[in-house]
Amino acid sequence: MTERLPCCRYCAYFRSEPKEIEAEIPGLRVLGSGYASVRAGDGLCRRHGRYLPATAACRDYHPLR
Amino acid sequence: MNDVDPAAGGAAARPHRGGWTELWLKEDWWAVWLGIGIVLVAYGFFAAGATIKPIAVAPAKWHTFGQLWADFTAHVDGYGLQFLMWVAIFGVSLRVMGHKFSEFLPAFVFIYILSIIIFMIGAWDQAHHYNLEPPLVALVVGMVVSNFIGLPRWMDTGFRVEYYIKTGIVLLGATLPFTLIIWAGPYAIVQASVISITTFVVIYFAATRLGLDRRLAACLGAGGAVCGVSGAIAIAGAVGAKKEHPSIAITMVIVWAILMIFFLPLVSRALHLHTGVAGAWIGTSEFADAAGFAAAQAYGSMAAGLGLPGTPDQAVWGFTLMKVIGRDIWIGLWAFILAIIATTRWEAQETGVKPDAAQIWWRFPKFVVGFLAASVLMTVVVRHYSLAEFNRVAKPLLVGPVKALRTWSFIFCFLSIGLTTRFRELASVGAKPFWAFSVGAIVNVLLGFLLSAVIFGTYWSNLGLPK
Repeated sequence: MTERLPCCRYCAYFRSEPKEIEAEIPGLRVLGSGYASVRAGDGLCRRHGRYLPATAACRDYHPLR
Repeated sequence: MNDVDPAAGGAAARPHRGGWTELWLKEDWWAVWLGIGIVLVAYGFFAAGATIKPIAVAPAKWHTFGQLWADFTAHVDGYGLQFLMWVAIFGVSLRVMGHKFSEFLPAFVFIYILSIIIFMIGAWDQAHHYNLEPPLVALVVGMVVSNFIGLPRWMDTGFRVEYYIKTGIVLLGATLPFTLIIWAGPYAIVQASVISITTFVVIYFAATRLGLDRRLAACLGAGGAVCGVSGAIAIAGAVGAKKEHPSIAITMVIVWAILMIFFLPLVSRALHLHTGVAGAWIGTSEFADAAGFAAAQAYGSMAAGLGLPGTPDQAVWGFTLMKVIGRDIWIGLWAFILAIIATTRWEAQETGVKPDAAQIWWRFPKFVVGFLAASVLMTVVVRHYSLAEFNRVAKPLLVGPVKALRTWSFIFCFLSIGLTTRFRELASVGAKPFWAFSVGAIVNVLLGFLLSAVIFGTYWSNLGLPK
């Protein structure tokens, strides 16, 4: 059986707030938006420097305080 | 791997609140509420024998400054009421989404005053002789202010490009007969599918041949092929791109999109293209909704002023059908397919992502729901009118005012594009992403012209004409 890891949505390294995403990704708000539906719950992983879906998971998960 | 303090760099992260909260935390849904709300209020007034026309005021055509001033002073109350309406609906909704009203208000005062001036310039009866089309003027003025003068960063709260364009698109739905969407939709989807797949493959193939990461190649491809910045950011999430990948793709989209706002209308004018054909070409070859509407609206009014074939409406309709119906609504499907490829072929173990077909809906641009609903609503409301009655009653008292408010929302958007485009702040891209994207953009423009003007030319020229 595959071990089920907690997903990024609840990880302290994961940032998906629209304001933060717009600040971190230059140009996003020029012809796009951090508040758009197409972004779903995606966010930036500060641990791995990746832009991931909130449903992603890895072994470096760190629970929110 | 970097060793990063998870609590560092800002407030503690909060889990993404999906589900029903999207209804009041996403711009797409707010655009639906505002757009449909305006249409319902307009209909309520109309059904009661009144009209929202006084609040949907806009500068009339003028020749002398005296005429301009007289028209403005005669409608100053309407401008005041309209300003209050926009402040109320955008201010409250942005506050709910987490923005500060104290930042929005002064920024919106600035943008509204500039919008009136730009509207007035566009209403000058000689404007088309000097290419003073409001979308182009708004863009240039905005870019000059943001790049050479500079405004405080907090004012960006009032420069919400996507929010204004989405609200405008929902209002546009009320001026686009639903029967036209049904009739034209399949053609638009076929043409858009050909162009989207071809452009994506060209950019992806060029990027990977140049040695770029496949995830960056996918972001660039989606940015050029599907829906610009929205496509790039959606695919970045779906494939788990590196942090810098969406920024690079977004820079490429912005640079090309702004270039195309000027290039496509001017070439269309030089070729004397029918407005429906030009609209479809712009819908095929522009990279972002906001930029595309600027180009389509600019060409529509340019063509009207110069006596070129077609109507301004046909330019906007052709663009909308091609871009919104043909390309935008498929972003979720693109994301799902690329997520499967990314997780099964590129990096099966690294992020533990299991692609979920539900993301086709999560990523669906929800404002399209409002656009379609507004179209159905208005089509049902006016279905009993003969053409003569429609032109005499419904058009000036119901559809016309909604269209005027749509134009305002678009002008706010065009100005916001310029005001937020600070070239020095965009991510540097390097030669390889530049060439990969540019090759795809050139193929897209040429193929888009072939499809719009030659293969489907007759069809787009007759868009919206009585059968």
